[in-house]
Amino acid sequence: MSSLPNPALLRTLLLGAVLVAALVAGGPSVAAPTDPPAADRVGVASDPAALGLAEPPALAPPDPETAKAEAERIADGLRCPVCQGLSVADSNADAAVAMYARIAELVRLGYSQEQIEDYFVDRYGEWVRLDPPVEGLHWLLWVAPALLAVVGAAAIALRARGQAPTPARPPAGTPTSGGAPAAAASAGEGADPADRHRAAVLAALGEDGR
Amino acid sequence: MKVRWGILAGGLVVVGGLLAVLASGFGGTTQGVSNNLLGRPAPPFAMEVLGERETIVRTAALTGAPVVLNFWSTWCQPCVLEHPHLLAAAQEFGPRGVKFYGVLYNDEPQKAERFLAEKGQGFPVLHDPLQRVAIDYGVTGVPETFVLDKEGRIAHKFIGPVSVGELQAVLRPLL
Repeated sequence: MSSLPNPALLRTLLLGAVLVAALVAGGPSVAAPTDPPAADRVGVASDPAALGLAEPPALAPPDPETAKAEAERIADGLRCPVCQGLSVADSNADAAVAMYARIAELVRLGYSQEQIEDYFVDRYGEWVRLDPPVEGLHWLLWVAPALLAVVGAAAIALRARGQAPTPARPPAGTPTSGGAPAAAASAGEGADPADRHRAAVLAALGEDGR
Repeated sequence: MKVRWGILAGGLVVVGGLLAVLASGFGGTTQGVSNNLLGRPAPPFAMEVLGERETIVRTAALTGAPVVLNFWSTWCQPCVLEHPHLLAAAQEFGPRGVKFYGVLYNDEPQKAERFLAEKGQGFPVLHDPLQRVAIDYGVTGVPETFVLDKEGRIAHKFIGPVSVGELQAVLRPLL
């Protein structure tokens, strides 16, 4: 029995790997770039009013490469209506594929990102934006973490300053602002609990007859 | 224990604010939050009638009478449930001038034809193969039903199955 792998098996594995690589490389693209021009299809009209858009395209029709990249970018920012937190670009759901086709079509006609987003917001509400604008009370969600960090840092700074030993502090035995007990009062003049602890340890060692 | 009123007050302000944001969010639904199309002219369309490839229905021909546009599919159970309600409403309001149309959403025409042959068909069903019209109307799922007034504006949108009573309430003022 030979220990070499079967050449036919190797070929199959290699072919499989190439196929998987090809699929991964072309994976999430759900565009239908072979769609006929808008006006050629039933259900579609070419003038802005008939497209359900208030204005004509803001831009000149882009070249196919630019159009594809632009459609991907816009689809990245719009929510798939039947998914949980997925963008149109990330979802393979039928509704997302249809939305992507619509985005791609409008991009090819020269509609700008803003016009296309407005088109979807008109139909699905602000909810359709994955990154909704900051309005109303929503600013609090953005401000609160920074505010908490500042307040926390200030509180820590104040506390640290309150505990720092100061020359003006009265000597041994007086409770500090932190309310620490004067447990090591006998250990000497240090007001800092760490100093007092060290003094207490040294004193205990001394009592051992050393 | 000594209470640090400053820290407590600051914490309460921040936590209270966040709770207010959450409370305002909980008031709404997560889908179909708003439909800015309400009151505006219905997005135009031109769709083939199922089973009659040469017949195309265009929105331009729909003004002058209220229109009920029902997006549905055979795989959607709520659509199956509302089907008899739509048939009853079409029977009641069809003779009074209201036009009813179904729009097949993400489904095979043959299945729809079988379904209608079995359950009854009271109005034409239109074919929207690429869900173009569904997107133009902001449909997030089925069933959704739009009611257009005589001027062709969107007067009402139902999300989920609709009953005869609900349709009556919306259609009567539009006649």
